[in-house]
Amino acid sequence: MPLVIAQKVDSFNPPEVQALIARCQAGDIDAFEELVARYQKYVFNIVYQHLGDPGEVEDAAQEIFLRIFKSIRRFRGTSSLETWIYRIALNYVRSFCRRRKLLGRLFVQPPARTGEGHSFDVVSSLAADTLDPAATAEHRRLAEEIVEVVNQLSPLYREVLIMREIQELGYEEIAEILGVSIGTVKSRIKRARDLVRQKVNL
Amino acid sequence: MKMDCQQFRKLISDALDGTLTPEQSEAFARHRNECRSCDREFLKQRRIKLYLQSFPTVREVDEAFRRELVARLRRGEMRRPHVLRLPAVAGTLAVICLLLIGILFGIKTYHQYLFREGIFIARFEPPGAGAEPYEQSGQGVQVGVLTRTDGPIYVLNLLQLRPEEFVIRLLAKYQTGEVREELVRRVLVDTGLLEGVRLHWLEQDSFQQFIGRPQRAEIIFPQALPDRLVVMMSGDELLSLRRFGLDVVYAFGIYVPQLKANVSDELRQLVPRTLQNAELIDLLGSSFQEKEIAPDASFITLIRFAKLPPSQR
Repeated sequence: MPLVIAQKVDSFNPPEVQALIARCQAGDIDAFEELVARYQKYVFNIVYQHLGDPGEVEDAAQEIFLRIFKSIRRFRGTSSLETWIYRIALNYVRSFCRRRKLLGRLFVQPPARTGEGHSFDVVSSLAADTLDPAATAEHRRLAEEIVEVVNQLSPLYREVLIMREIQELGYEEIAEILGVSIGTVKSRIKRARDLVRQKVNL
Repeated sequence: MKMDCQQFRKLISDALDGTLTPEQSEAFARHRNECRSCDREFLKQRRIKLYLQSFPTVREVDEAFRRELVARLRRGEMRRPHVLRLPAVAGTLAVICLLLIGILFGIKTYHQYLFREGIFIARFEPPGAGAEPYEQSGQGVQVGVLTRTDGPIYVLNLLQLRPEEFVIRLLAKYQTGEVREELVRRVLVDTGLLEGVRLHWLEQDSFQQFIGRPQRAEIIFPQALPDRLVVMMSGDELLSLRRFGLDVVYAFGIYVPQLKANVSDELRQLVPRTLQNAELIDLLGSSFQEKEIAPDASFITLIRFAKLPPSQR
């Protein structure tokens, strides 16, 4: 049986990642720093795109990495490390949103770092400003309207649409992260697209 | 493979994801060439997809983030403490306290209003459920006076019921159709036990719509309720009231006085001296013979209720 597990692990993660996981599981903080360096952009993107609030991204990312550190011993390699991290990040974002609704008025967490600004750069691949100011303005209006519509979708559809359209994950990966069937993923994506299409004024 | 517009629109999502089979893909492209409307719809959805793909992404994360995270790990700071935002907490607690005070004050005022106005509120349930306990007000007890001196006096001895309970029970029976309106009028309205029932749709002179419609009703009692009353009744009314008096089920909170062992002796003390020798027939007592009552004859009937407890007099 251990042989079978080893084969599965090999099939999900490349050897260098598997070695990194093993060192992290042994409590090696240097190895964890390497893991953070490797996946911090990945986690920041998940949080930034699902949370939609730049001011909360760093704190959320720190908490997510702490959760990863605490639970990596339980990672058995039955999925890719990225999928596992995505699941932890998404669960954190979900619970963060719930907490923010319930306790946001009573409790506030102190900022994790001092100083102004964020520790990350954001880039938009929206078509660069054209020579025609009217066309540029129309591009921006439409982009903002679409983002607004997506943010207003229920989490069921918003999550799946962000994974598919923005992060360009495959059906199988989305299904694994959400713990649902591929058919369910497909139908949710279709429904989410229909909802956005109905609300966006093109 | 021929494709219609409905089939085409169902496949737009798959086309955007590039998961159409070669056959579907060919039919899809053919339909786009033939139908301008479907082609426009596909282009619009593809445009939305492109806009979504241009959603901002994080390009770089500062070194400081990782340094601080690792420093936290080395210090063993796995959890950041929550800081209580004192003004917000104090404000929320104050609002909750004010709301509670307001609710309590409102309840007290409402109770005072009920008591002052002499209003009893009962909810009529479907048959079998019985009436609920209610607010009770009204001061003093009016003593009933017998006005006729001839013939036997039948006594309906409802010592387990207070008058207001009797009214509610009788109305509930009326609502379920077990007693007639005429009896309700004679026993409750004509005797002054009941001043009115407030229902939105109640017509001026009829209780008809009250029947079979369980709903909340305000029952308006006079300021003072007697603990006994005299009423002329037909034989069958009298018998129905007797049966009604015997199957009372008490709800929680209703006062139940102790029954005296010798009811008839106590009854004799209730009636005026001039009637000492008149025949008293206790409908609940052992001397009562049901066959003596002719259904269409009239009888003087003394209905006796439980007295109010001393604290409520």
